[in-house]
Amino acid sequence: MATDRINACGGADRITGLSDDVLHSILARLPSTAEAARTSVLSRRWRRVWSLDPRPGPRLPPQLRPWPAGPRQHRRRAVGPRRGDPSPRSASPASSGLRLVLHTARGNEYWKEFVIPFCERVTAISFCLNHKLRFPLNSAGGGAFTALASLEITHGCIDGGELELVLCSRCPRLKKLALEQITLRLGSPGPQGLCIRSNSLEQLKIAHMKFPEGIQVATPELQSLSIDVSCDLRIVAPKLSELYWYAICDG
Amino acid sequence: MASAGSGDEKAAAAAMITLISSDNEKFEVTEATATLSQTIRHMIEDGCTDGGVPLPNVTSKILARVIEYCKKHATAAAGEEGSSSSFSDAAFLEVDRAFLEELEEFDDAFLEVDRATLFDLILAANYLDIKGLLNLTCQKVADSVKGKTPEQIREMYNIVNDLTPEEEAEIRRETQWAFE
Repeated sequence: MATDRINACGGADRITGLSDDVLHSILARLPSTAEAARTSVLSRRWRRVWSLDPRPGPRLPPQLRPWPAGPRQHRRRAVGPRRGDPSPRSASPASSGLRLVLHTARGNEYWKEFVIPFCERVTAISFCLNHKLRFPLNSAGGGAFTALASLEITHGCIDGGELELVLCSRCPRLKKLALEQITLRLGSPGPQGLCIRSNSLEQLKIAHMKFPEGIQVATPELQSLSIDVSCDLRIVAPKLSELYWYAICDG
Repeated sequence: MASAGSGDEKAAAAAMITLISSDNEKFEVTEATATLSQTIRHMIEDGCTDGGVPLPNVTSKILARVIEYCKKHATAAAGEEGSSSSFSDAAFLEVDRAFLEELEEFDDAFLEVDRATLFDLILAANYLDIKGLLNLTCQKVADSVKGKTPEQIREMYNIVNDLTPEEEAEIRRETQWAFE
């Protein structure tokens, strides 16, 4: 349990003593990523909570080291799985407009974990990996996908809670999101199911996924939505102008 | 019929759980109420609740509030299951909506507490793993921080800024996009 810290004025600082999980949950409920990010200047503890640790550290794992990069350059390669999370740090590839494309042809290897490091300058990510995908939210390093505009994940298994948190608080410029054939780790989404919340998202595609608890979408800027799932959906998207609906009701 | 104290001996009496606060006060609650807490649910599943469940991290004042929340929301869950078959869809939706509104009002009133109690509730909800209550209380904190500058947040929650001016400037540089 948290111990109170008393400041010079005699008031107790109750909020700083909350666990990281609880503080992340509070940050995730702020209306914008920017607001959550601004809490990093509150104090040392809050800087860590937002996970923008600028200290030099190991950068990317070998298979994710930036290739000699130019804008729009990308490379397809099979990626070996990594266990644990020894060194996910903010990536600072030399160029902007960097695409990260990782596809593997292997069969299901959901028991193997693949940690997606926060890459601050990558603008597009496309993953097709049959692994359990994790985001390093609880590591001391971390960061955000500050430049990411397009995220495509096909296959793989994801922790719903992590995905929600990353989408709503670590991708401030995300415009396009495609999730296909993904399994959510059991028990990870909240009682309302998967909640996709983003203030910047304009295009969303969700296809061939099973969500027993349903999906909620709260995206003020969303213009195009493509849905091919059969489950409960709650969508708040006031600017929606294109809807592709493939779902067949189960009755 | 559904109330815990109705003396329905077959069902209710068999499923009572005793919760013991840090100051040794005992609270009798139905299993349906108690199992809103995942922590207690696991204890029940493991058969560890005979002789009461000691909760050394929760005072009687806070435990009473937590139980109040759980009772209301356990009734909500039971009501939803029980009523679905006896109403036509339209009538059911109407009842459902009215009930959700009532629940929302309850939650709003429930959160009318001082800040110290709010944090005690967060800690208890976290410890007892009551998702709904944790979400509710975290939302309240988030709402209070919304639209505030870091300086205002520090002042509001008595957060001591232990960053050097250089460190703070550095963080502001890194998160410049967030301050634009």
